[in-house]
Amino acid sequence: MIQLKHIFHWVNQGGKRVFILKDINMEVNEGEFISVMGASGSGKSTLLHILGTIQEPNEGDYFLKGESVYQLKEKQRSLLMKQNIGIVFQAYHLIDELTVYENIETPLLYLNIPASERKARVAEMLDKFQIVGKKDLFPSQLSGGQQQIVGIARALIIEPTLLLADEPTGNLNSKQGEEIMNIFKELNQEGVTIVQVTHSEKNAAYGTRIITLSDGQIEHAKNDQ
Amino acid sequence: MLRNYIKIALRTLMKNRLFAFINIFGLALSLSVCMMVMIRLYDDLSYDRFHPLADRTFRILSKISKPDGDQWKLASSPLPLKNALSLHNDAIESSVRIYPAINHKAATTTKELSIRGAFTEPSFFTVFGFTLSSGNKTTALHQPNGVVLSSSLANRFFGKNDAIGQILTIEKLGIFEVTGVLTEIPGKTHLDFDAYFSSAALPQLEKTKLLPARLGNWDTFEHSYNYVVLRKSVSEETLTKLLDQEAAALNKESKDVRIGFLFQPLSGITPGDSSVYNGIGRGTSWAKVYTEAGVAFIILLAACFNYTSLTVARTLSRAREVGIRKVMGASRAQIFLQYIIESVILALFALLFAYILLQEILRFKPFNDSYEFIPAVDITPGLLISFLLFTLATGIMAGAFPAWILSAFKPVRVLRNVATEKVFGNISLQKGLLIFQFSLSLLIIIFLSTFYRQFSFMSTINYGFRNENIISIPLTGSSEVLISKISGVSGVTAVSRTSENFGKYNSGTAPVISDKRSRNKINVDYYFTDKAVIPVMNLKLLAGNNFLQNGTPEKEKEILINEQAVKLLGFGNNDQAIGKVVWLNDSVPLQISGVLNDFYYQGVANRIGPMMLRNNSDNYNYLNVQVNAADKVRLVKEIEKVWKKLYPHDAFSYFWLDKRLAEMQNQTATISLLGFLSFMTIAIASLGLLGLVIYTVETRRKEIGIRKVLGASVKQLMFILSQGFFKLLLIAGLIAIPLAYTLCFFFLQNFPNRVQVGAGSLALCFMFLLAIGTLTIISNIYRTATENPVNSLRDE
Repeated sequence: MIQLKHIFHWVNQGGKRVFILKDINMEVNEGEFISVMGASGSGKSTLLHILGTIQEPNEGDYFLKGESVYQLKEKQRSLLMKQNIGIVFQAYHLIDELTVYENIETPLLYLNIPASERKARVAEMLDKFQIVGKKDLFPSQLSGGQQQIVGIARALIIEPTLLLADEPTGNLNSKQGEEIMNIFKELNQEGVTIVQVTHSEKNAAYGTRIITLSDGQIEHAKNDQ
Repeated sequence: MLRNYIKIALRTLMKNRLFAFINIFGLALSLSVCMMVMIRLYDDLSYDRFHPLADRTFRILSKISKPDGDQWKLASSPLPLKNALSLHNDAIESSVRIYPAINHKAATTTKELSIRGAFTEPSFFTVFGFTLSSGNKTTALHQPNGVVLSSSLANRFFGKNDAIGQILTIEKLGIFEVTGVLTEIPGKTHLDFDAYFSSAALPQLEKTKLLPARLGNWDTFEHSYNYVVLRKSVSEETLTKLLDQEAAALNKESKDVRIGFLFQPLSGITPGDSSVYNGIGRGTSWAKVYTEAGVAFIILLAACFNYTSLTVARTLSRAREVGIRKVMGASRAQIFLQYIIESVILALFALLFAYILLQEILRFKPFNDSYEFIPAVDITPGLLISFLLFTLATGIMAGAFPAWILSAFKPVRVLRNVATEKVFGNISLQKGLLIFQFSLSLLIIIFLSTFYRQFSFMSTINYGFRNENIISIPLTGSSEVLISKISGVSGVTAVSRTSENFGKYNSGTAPVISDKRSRNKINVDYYFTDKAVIPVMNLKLLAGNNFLQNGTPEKEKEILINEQAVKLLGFGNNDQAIGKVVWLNDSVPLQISGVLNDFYYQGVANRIGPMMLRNNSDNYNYLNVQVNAADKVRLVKEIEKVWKKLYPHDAFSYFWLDKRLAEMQNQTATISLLGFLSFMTIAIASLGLLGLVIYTVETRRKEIGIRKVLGASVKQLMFILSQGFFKLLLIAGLIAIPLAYTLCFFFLQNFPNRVQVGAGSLALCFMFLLAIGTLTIISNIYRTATENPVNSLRDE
């Protein structure tokens, strides 16, 4: 479903190229749950951002559902992305001024989905994560774990083909973290393709495959099962 | 979507109340000024909007070119032109001539008033949209002695009584009968005469030499105004051709001066072209309108800058939101729109404030005195809509730049926790804006203080003539009896008569030559007075004698002149002037009988020019009664009694001369306007500074915490934090002070007696601004500098 081919990304420091990603080639198949691991600065987050098209690499190709993402026009690319990719952040990144309900609804607004359908889909999502009672609260009134659940709900509202998660449990305590990881596992079993970045071996074990990055290169890929 | 934007905007405003307040208040202040200007504009543009044929009605202008290249345009054109043009009735549907020959007194049996009137024809009512509230439109201006009054004049003369059929005696011209009263016009008009007389009276008046013969005289470019209505199918080129024909005929006879006729549409008369001279009324010109709009725009810009700079400064706190939204799939246009809507909502709040402020200004009229700065207009729906549209435009203008910057954010920068300062590190723009705002404030403060000092200085200058304890009574007719009766009241010291009171206006100006052969004409201001004026006004006779007797028009022989006149007429000294004969208007010989000291007969704001007192009992308009200071109140009553006995029909009116002079010099309205402006600019600038200080302090909290942990004292921290801001204030001072000095210097050149733009007062104004700035800066910085570093260093 997703292919990265010869991805290079670097920054110039004092006239020298410092590579953040170096010749990354990877494939993500439908229904996979990939954990990307590696030390700080190994390029995990950059890789995730590239997958989410938040960032563009200096070199390389990215195919999503057979389309070459970087060949697309800005508008088409943006549409492809906002229909297919949901992102969950370590720091949740909810909009403080919006309620839980409105936060979850926001991506649908940008897809120009009619109000009645928005309502139904948000209600479904609130139901799924059992946060109906919290829909009118603001992010600051929620615990970290609850905020992350809202973050996940928001990422899933567009029914993405790919869910990206950047250390989704990094700001949570272990009990909350476990809860979130279980949610991911369930989602994966329901058929959502997931790529997560994580530090923790324990969290990585939830996935079906682990990719380890070291100094911007894929060290080795192994099938966990 | 829109609802979502509005919701967020309101929540953001609520969350950041201080910033919201700064923005709304600053914007509201300047919006109120813009609304005042819009009201003025609305008033200026409301002229002559009620004429049904306006799109086909034109006023004929004269263009006069002299062989030396001098040329000018007049709003007026010769009297015979109207008849000449009306011959072409295939092109011209109707035409009318307005001949403003009347600036006289009009009297009924009980009342007398000065009026401004014009002769015109029955077609007046077809060309213009005027209607009559009483009387018959078709006949009112037909009969030779008919006169149509404006509704206000009819009211002044006859009150609620029917004016039709009443008789008016016009001084020197004879008797007229009121045949109509105009309906109060909707809006304004450049045709603001008190009365319109039937031109059928003109031939007889000219025949009897009561008016100069002008009906058939083409050399009367300055004396009448001609209007034509073109037939529907006729183009303006046809009119041009007709006018060129008339001009060509005239130019055949004239040798050096070239004549041309132009025309302007009726709706283009006010506001008009300032290069057209000799217009009717006091309508404004486009140049003035543009200037005013420009000033308002600058003030608005300053407030918009605040919004822009504050919002840009706060982009940090919004950047995360933008990043998230973009990741959620928002396009740049959508983000842009969201922030524009936010600023528009803020502007609407400001409008609410501004409107309340405007209502108070309209109610208390602090900026109006003799000149109606804010015209009394009704706030119509049209005006309200333009306020609203203007506010929307303001919101968009103020929000566009921040919205542009915000919507350009790359989400990756925000989401990756790039050091906050780097996201928007450069605040030189805001600094530039602040310098502009403070320079403007300082400029206005300095000008205001100079203006105030100048006028308080002038109020201390002695006029050079007595004005205390003098009751001035407007005269209505012959005054001999009144004088003798009033002189008899005990407590009255002396009584004199004058054509106009000293202190502001002269009675007239006439060319004077000291010698029949001399070509050196001097324009000399004059007043008509009797001989008692010297003791009553305490004038000093430096040489010669007072008038020997009170003259009449036939026997006007003597004049008294001031020292300026002695000098300019070329007499060696005061004594040499005595007994000399000068010629007035090349025709009237008058002997100088005395020389008076120079005094400020036109007020201390004006230079003392050459002046003479003439002696002609027909021209007295005021009776000045010098009374005992101790008995002032009783004496007014006594004098009123005398008046009532003599003129039982006329109301007694009087004023104290010193009070009237003080009123005429009063600049309260201007000072309060300038005061308001300076308050506003200072408020806007200080609010802008406050915003920037809060922002800077916020972004440097961590730095301050670290410094504090490392051992910096509160004093050192305050120094570090405030340094940059004082630099801004100093730069503003460096820009504004020379500008303000120049402005004040040229302003003061208008006054013969003036204060100096001293370094002291400049420094004082600057200190004032600095004090306000310091207060703004210190109050905020102190809090941060004394804060426990634990708070700022604890992170995540």
